[in-house]
Amino acid sequence: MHLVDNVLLNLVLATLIKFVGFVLVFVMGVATVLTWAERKYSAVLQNRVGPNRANIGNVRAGGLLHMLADPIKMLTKEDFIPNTPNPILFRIAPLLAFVPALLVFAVIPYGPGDNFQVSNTSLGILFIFAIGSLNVYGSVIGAWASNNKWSLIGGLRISAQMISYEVAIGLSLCGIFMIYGSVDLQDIARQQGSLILGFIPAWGIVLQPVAFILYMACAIAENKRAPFDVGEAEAELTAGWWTEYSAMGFAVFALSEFIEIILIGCVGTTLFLGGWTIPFLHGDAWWIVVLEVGGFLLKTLFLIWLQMTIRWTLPRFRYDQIMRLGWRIMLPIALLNLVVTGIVLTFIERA
Amino acid sequence: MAKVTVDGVEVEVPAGTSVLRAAKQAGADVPVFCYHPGLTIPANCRMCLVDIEKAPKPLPACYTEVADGMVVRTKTDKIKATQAAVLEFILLNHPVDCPVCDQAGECVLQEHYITYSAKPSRLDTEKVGKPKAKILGPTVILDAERCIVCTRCVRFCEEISKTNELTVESRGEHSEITTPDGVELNNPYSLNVVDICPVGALTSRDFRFQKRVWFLDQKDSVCTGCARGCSVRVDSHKNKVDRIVPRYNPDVNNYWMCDDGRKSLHTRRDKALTLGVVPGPNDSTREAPALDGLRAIAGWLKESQDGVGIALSASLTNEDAYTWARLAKGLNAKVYLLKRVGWQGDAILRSADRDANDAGVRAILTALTPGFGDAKQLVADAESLDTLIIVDNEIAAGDALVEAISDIANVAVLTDLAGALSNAATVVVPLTQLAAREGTLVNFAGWVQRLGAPLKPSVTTVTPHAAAANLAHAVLGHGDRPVAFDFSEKSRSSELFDSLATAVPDFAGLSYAALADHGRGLPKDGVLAPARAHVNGTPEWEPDPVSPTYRRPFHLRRGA
Amino acid sequence: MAKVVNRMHPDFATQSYVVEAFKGVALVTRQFARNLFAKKDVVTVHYPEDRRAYTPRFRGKHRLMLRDDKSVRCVACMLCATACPANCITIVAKEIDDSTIEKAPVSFDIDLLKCIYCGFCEEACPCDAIRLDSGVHTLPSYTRRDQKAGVVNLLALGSASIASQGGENRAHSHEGTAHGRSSH
Repeated sequence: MHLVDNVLLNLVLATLIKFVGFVLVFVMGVATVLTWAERKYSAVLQNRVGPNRANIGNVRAGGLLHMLADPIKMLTKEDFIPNTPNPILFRIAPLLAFVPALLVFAVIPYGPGDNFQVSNTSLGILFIFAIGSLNVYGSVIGAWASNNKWSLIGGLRISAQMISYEVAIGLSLCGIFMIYGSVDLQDIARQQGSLILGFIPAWGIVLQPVAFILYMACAIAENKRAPFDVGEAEAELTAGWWTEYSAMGFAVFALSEFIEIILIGCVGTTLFLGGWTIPFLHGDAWWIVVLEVGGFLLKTLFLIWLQMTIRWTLPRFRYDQIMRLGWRIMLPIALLNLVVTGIVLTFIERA
Repeated sequence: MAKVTVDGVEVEVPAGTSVLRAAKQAGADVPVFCYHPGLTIPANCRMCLVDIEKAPKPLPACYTEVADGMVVRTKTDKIKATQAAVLEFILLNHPVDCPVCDQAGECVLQEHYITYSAKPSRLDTEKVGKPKAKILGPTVILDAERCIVCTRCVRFCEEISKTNELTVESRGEHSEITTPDGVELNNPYSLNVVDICPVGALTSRDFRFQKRVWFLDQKDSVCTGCARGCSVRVDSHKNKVDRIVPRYNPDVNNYWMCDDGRKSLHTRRDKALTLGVVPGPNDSTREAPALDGLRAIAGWLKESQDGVGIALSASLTNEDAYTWARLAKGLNAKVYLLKRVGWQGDAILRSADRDANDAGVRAILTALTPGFGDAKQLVADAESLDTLIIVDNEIAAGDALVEAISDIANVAVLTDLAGALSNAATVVVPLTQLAAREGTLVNFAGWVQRLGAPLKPSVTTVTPHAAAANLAHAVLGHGDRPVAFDFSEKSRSSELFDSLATAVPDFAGLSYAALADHGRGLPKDGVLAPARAHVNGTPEWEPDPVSPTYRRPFHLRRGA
Repeated sequence: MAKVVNRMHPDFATQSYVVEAFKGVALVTRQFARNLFAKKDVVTVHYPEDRRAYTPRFRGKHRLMLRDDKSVRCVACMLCATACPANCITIVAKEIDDSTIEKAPVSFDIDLLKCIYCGFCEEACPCDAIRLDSGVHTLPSYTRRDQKAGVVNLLALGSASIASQGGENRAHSHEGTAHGRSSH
């Protein structure tokens, strides 16, 4: 009994520490910084100034204080509920978007071993797909409950778009599973630490370059960000599916979008950029582990930067173009990629 | 008759007509300064010089009489040069301080300069200095530098007012209008010299610097100061009357009016009521708009219609008197005609009767009521009256009358000016101020004219005839309260007058539309006099050709 | 005339978007680095702190000019009120003792909400009394009353004008009043 208690206690404590360290500090921290970074970054690359007005006394810190000012503003603004028959759905929709996005981080391995994974389930990537695809309900229910035609049209667009790209993203990753023979993320990450022909890191991006591009494109589409933001489409739909959201409802939606950016970065790192492994560096020394965790976070930040840059580079696709891209280009390429991978794998095994 | 050709146009005019009038009839504009149709002709300004065939030199059109077969040219190069030269001489010492001159905008010199010269001055020495802002009397200020010595004002004081206060002093460019030592320009018609002054030399101390003339909205109306009923033009801006000037009417006042008539605007403008008084609970009183006052009066009348007296002013318009007479008939009320007192007439224009419509109200009451009393009768009857309604007679009510009405239980006064009577009354109904009422007035000689109503009425007030109509509806009709006021008084006046013209024999044959411009005389022995031909330029109906009081000076009409 | 539109016919590599997307990423990254580290292409003026200089021809809040003896140059001739297309000037005149001028304003109100800053008033003014060259941008306020500029308000921005006026040298001033602006 005593032993069980201790084990249970340790488990709970360890999980809590990992959760706080990774999810609350890293994920939420980066998401908060992203609210400022997205605007400042886009401003600088577009010859603008960007957020710079929030200040304490004379300290402006290049607009960094907007990270503080924005939550205060969001908390104190009127929380408007439109004249809708479904006020409860309208209320819980932001949570439906927010909670799954955060839950998924439970299975991300950000370092070697169980100590660097909030919860190691053998489901791995399947858990991510299962929980991550719940995200669409938040947006669609919110759009529906807004009782607003713009919201409704936006909601229709994103529901179709997210479900379409769900297929392509799943198929694009199957090649990875075939190569590494596992869906356990920790396992996949560890295998990427090995070398091919003695000098090429066995990263997913090296073995599955097409899948990486497909993954990034589909993931951005899943996250409803430009160039796939037809659901929001300011020019046509005011603000699309979240037109009616204000104050914290809006803030939670926006935050869950940033969290998903981080999630895409984490998953992309784990599957394609070698996870926490560093090529040519192996061992159990504490400094190596620190380097590995740091490396994971850096790779994640790189993918976040890539997403942001793409968002401010490409113009928005038309709705029909998005659907055609998803079904008639992405899906066949993903299937082809799968078939080729299978043939090559078989060939290698035979050889 | 003489046939004259002016600028190629042949006209036939009676012998003895001046070339100026003949030219006007032929449609040729001859500029003048000193000529005024109401005064004698000195021909001293030389502005009206015209070429006449067989005459060696240009002749003054104002003074030269036509001859049969005369050929006149007004636009030859010689005449144009002459006109420009005359203007240059006149302007030589003129200060050209138009920006601070009240006459600017209706100045004959300005208009002639633009039309006939428009050349810069060639003077390169100092101008002759003369007194500026010299006070000539209680009403008029002289700026001697602006004066062009046309002597219109001197002639006016000699010929019309016959007071001889003005004269010309010195000679040549030092000529100056002045008064003899110890005399000031102080007669009941002194402000006419301001009207006839073609430049800004004589200005009214009353109107001086109050408004630039081009802001004023002009409306033809009638002076209500006395029984003469001078035709006037009321100039107003932003719903306030700024001045009253005479309007040419050969049947009433010619070109003139008295100073008191002009100044009446101050009483009317500054003391006009907008709220009346009605009794409140517990013997208190409160200020109230006209509707509340009428409701109170209707309450009395519905309670009892015995011992009702209605006292009408002899200054009411025909329409007002007609409506109230009909109401009195319906109520079986006793009717009294109240007169205004405290006024002196003279032999020129001022009538001894201060009431503007005595003849009209008398004719209407005679036709529509079994009989009516006067103020003395009202004092005598005061004991027997329970309810008394006094309509529009605040000016100069006698003490005896004020005392007599204090014994009457219910006294209502309808007025646009607070005074002794309304102070003694239980209910005061604010009437629309006079300058916002339409209607017709009959002067002492039986000449009917229309009021112009240049202003917009205040919404808390009511016109006398609307008040009577509302009371009649509330007390005699089926409604139990005064109906909402009909503010479309403009159409009301014409309907009422046309109805009156059929009901009152003295007005038979007249119509509201026929009274436009200068009015019509009442029919004598049932026969209407033929209307005057209203044609510009005929001797029959000739407005002052240069008087700035006749036409709108600037085409620039500003919004309120 | 119809305009011929040259439609692009991109090849497959371009149409696939993959290469082009990364070219775009490179482009914006280059611009980002340029703005961050090298020459800044940002042209924004930080408005309340930094202000762009108004041109000398800028028409701002009105001001009333003064004579040498510090009295208002305005003679209440109301030519500005007459010229004003917005009807925003209200002047009440009074008589003064100076017989060469005679007239002065009791009140000179400009409704800054109605004013369209066209400058007709300063063109119309024969006395160089009103100018719009103060360089003061009229600021918003909370009440309509605050947008009425009265004599005090307008004089505060005013200064002495050297233009000739009224009875001074009247006989010799054929060219009228000088209408120069003060250097700005």
